Amino acid sequence: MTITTSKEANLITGRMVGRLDAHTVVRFVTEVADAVGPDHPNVALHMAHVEFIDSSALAALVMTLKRSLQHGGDVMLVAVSDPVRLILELTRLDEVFPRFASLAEARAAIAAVA
Amino acid sequence: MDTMQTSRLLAVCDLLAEPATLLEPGEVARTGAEHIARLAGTELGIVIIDGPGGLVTGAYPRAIGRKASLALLEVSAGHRAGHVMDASWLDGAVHTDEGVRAVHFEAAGRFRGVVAAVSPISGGFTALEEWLVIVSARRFAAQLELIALHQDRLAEAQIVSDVESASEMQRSLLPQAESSGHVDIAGIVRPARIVAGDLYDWRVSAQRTIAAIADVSGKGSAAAMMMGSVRAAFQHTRGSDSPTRILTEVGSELWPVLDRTSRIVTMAAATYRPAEGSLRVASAGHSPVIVKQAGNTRSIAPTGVPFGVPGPGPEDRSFEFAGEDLVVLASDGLVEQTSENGDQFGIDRLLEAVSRSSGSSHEVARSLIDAVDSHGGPSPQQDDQTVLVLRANAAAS
Repeated sequence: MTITTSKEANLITGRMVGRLDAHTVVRFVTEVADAVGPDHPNVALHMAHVEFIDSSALAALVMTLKRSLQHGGDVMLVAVSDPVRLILELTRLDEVFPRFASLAEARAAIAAVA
Repeated sequence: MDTMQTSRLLAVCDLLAEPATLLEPGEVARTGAEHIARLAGTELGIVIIDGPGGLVTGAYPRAIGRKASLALLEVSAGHRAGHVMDASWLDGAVHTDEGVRAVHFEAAGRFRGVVAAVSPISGGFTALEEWLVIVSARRFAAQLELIALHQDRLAEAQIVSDVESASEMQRSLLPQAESSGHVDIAGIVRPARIVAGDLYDWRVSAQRTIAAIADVSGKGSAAAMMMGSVRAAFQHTRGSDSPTRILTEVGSELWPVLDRTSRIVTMAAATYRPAEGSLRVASAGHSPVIVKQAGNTRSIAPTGVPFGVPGPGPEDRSFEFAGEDLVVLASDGLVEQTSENGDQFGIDRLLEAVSRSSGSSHEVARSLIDAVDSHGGPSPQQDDQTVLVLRANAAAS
């Protein structure tokens, strides 16, 4: 799995490609989850090219969400691929992470709240 | 050939005849000290080894003190491994005044040692004798590498043995299939590794049967340990006809530890009241949950989020349940199992397999696992696979 992250004002963006599972989730945690804080409470994850996601990865997303919420932010999923969308629906997590078609829309949503 | 050469040749022969594997650093030190004295032609041979088991010293033909051992080891550590150092300053400590040659060595990232030849019988050290000390150090290092490998194998075997015991424990905690007048219930768990992060459980009483399935995020021993807490929480929920109530109690109890360990648990529960012929089902983020009722087989979507996630809780769905109706609670390991060409078994195939199934709960559970295995073919099992089948016995209606 490759992951490219960048930090903007109050937002961390991550673009992930490949499988997000027990083996690759450690990188997600160090590069995204651990970076969440008062200066960067929001996370937007581009997932169009994530072909597989397992329970370890879902647990990591939830952990990131809890940290974001603690700092007044949210975790947004962008351009979610079909396999990921299916898993989110099967676990009811589709109700928990706001979803957007593009990073621009996610940024707009953050700006609207601020 | 003179006596010294004969003696040295015999020492080499004995060294070659020695078994290649020694089991302990102490043995290396003890046999090594004698080899050194004979090979280098000195009055005293010393081998000191420091490792995870502590410091061991071999000295031949007489012992040396612990302080001298430590001193020699510490000084040698400051020299390059494999190179001879003149440790004649040690003469006083080892009661000789005729010269010491020592070589430091290290092995397997966990042992370090020094071999010392003390007091040459011939009066001085030749190049050959120094070389023999160096070669001996290499040999002792090689013996320690083998010992380290052996120690690692033993440690691994111990871990595997522990995990296998845990797996047996897990299996013995699962309820046995039961078929009473009103209900027929059975389950199968197949761990992906030796222990599973999935579990099923149930409680049967005269008024009701409560069945549940749960899946902890992740796999292996850590998930299996969490599952112990899930099982305990389920076992001491108050009896209720509402699976939502049961799930809510379990979820509240688990929240603190899930928060601390950053794990999530999906769980589904079903309650069946034979007297009323009613079934209620609820799910906290868990799929698949399948109800086959009056010839109609459908998958029930979860209404609540998994435990450990902030979000909406589950809600009861009610069904009439009688005759040979059945409810199947399975883990996603069945649905996600891929065949050789990467095709997942999928919910549709599972629904079809349930729809086609017949026989006792155990037979149905078995047939579902068999269907997944046929699909998977030679592909390895990717995740824990668990299925629970609860059937209203025809006798109940």
